[in-house]
Amino acid sequence: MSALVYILRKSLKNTIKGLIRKPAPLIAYIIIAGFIIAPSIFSGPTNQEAAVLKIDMELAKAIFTGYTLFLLVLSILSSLNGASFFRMADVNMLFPTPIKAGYILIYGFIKQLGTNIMVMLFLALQYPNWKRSFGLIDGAGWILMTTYLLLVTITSLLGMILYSYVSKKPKRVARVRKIIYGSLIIFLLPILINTFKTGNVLDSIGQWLSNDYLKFIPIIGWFREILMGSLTGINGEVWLYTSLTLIVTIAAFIVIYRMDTEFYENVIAGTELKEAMLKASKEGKTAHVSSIRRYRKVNAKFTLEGSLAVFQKQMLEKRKKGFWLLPTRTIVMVVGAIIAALSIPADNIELMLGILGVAAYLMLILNMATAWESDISYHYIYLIPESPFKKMLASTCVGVIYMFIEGILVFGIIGPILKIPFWITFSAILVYSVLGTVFIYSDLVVRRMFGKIHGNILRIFFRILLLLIIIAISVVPAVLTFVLTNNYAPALFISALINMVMVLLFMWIGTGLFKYPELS
Amino acid sequence: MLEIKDVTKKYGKILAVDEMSFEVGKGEIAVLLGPNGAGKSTIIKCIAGLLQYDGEITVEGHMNKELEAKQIIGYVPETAALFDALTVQEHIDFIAKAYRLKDYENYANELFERFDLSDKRGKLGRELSKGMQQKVSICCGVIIRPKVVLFDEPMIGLDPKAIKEFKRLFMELKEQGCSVLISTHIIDTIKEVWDRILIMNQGKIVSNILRDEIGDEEEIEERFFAATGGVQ
Repeated sequence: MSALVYILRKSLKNTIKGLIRKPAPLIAYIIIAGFIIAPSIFSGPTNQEAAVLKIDMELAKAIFTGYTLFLLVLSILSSLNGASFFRMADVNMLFPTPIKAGYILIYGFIKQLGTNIMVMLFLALQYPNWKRSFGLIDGAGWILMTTYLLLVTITSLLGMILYSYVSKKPKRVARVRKIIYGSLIIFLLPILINTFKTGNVLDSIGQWLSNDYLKFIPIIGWFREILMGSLTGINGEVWLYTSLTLIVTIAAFIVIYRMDTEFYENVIAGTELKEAMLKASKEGKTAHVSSIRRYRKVNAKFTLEGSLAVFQKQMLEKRKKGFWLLPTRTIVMVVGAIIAALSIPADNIELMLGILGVAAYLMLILNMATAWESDISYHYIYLIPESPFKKMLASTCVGVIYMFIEGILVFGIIGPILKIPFWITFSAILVYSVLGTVFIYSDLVVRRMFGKIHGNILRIFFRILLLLIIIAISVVPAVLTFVLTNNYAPALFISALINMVMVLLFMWIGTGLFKYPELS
Repeated sequence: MLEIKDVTKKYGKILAVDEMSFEVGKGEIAVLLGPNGAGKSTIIKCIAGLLQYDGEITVEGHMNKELEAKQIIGYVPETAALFDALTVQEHIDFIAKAYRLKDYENYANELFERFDLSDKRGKLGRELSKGMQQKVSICCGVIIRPKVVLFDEPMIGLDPKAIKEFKRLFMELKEQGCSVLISTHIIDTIKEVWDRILIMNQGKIVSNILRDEIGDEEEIEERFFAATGGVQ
């Protein structure tokens, strides 16, 4: 056991030493900590009435059920391929040692807890917004953070148990997968039936997912009730379901602990998968594991020369990876926007601006793995005889095109549905696309500043910080223009123009990444 | 012609290359020989323009970071890095377009033939074995018909036939007037091909040997151990 404590202690010590040696990330962590602490200092109980949106309790229940269901199903499905707290170094160096397997499991668990705390802190950064917007109770941030930690812990543990079961017989994987999909009928069937009756999808989803009886479904229902505590306050039910969740967590832990050495074999497959995904993520590829990803057969010829060959290579890769210029994200965005446009009763222009806001927020918090990150992980880009600026442009161009296509599809479709004047629709497309472009180039700046030494969480933190500043710079003049002209079009144009200037600045800073691998 | 003058490279406080100077003439095969951690890969990467350094590196009279130099430098890294989603043929086509090469198809076919890649043209990079990936990486490095070509531990993972073919390729590049720089720590791999051996230790060239200067191949080993302080 002392050896495990030694690793944890040394790892922590060396991480801190590393941060002191290269203080840029340390400064980042301090600022992030400031962001997390500041809200508890500045948003006292008196601010609670300033909630912008009075959120409907039934809607909140439905959202929490959906959130828990999504995380649980996703985690359990992925655990069928192997769930692991460990890295390959643990497997190679710890598993062969004469340390009791149970202790090693605790060690892995503590490490996992550290990772989850970082994600939890990321969520905490969103808390002040949510508190202001939805009128959460004081201390709701702690409820949300603890619930997240509990949820990821229990899903990981259940995933490990499930994997140890399915890994014994290959047929079990398919069977368990069928059972999981089958049990989703509990959630989908009533929604479908009600939709046929009422013709309203959103209402049907809301009504069923907020149904009071769902709280009796273990984990999903329990977590929903605990999360509701962030709006209604901590009552007996919150304590009851928290206790039940803790009992299940401890029970799951004991089950795994008693598996003793048997869990080693189960863990190895999961660890290999995890290593492959981490490698892919570090190289800027999407979370797919390259060894299992399938590519379409595409016959294409390289016709463009110099740095533009990089652009053409990326287009070819995109064509091989999926729909021609239409990633799943775009399809989800388009469908979501159409549903919102058809079902939300609100002023049309305000609704479109609302959709623009939500879409922009999603872009802000979702960290897209972009093609340029993959390109700079290979040596070829540095060797090509072209200027770094041209290479940077060629490598980021596909991402920018995606943004414009997404903007045209989302707002070009909902504009006519909502009968919005052409110039406002056009401006919305422009704002969305340019904002997306700002996001792409701001990532270059963040990468330039902090490199790839530290995890994605830090990058997302800074992306948010940087972009909040940019949005402030572009939104304030836009609002002023609107006040002066009483017209949305020039206001949106001003915003797009300022964003463009920011893009040029970011391009200039980000070009360095394409000079030497050392700078990336 | 490759000229390196007083090149120094530091990783933080660690001195990887210490005021190194040497030349590789036209049609000359120079070998950087040294123990692990001697700085061989670092100097190769500096020449390829992948690292920042102090000092001066010129290729055919151009600074190595100028586009004119990049156009004529070929580089084969220590570990092959291929694009997952590109086929073998597409890798070559991509390089050809990026370097604006004309009439490269015949040469590509010849290389594929020599390295047993002809039937693998349609295979994706990630579908190949490590050795096959290395062969594709070599093809990518030489397809540009470089005037200076850098090979970083190029024979690792290659089968005997490929090694033989590869050595023949060295000689052809030499005959074409190309300056060839090979880094390795395995003396046996370069015995027949070298013109100049640059023995490296702790970031410095500690010995510069020309083929005419020594009697037999055994002497390389002796000089290597003498220069690096190793045990024979």
